[in-house]
Amino acid sequence: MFCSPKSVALKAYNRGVMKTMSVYVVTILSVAWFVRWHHPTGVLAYVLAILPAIPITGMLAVMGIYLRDEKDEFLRWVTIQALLWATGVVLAGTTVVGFLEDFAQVKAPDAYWVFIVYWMVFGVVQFWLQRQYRQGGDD
Amino acid sequence: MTNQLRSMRAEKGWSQADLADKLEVSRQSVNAIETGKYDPSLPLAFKIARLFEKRIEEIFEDSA
Repeated sequence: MFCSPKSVALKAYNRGVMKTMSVYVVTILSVAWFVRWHHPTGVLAYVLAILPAIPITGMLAVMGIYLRDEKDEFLRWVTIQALLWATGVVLAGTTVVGFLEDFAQVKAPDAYWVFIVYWMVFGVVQFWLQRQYRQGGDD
Repeated sequence: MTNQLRSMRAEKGWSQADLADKLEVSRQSVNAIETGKYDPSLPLAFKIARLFEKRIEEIFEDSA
């Protein structure tokens, strides 16, 4: 995200990301440990499998709250651009992978990679936009 | 859209950070507006105009 220490919304966003990521790490480690040693089946296995996705999905809520609360329209615009880029790249990428899977028998990566790639693209585009907008005007 | 923000700010002796404080936006926002990379919304344009005690069209010029 843009460095803007004065943005209350950005501070809340950073706190939210830290919280959701902390919960995620604890959850994934706990679930991995439980599955490895107890080999759950049936409904319990489904519940355990879904648990780590909850804090990860919470990231989207944290982002939504940031976009709602950010008072700086320029920072909001840059964030929205990065989100659109990430959405486009992920949609295009998953479509290509889907066809490769169907017609070329390529083994698709695990579906959770979509989320990881989404935020990676978001981060890269944010960084790139940050550089673009900074060029030629700082004093 | 082109604008006179940089020169008007210089006349006042303000840094980008000073102007950002007065407008309650980030310094990056001021920079992006000054360089013409971002056109502010109407409410922000009015805020800028009030701060410099000018009309919007004296600050911003439609290059179309």
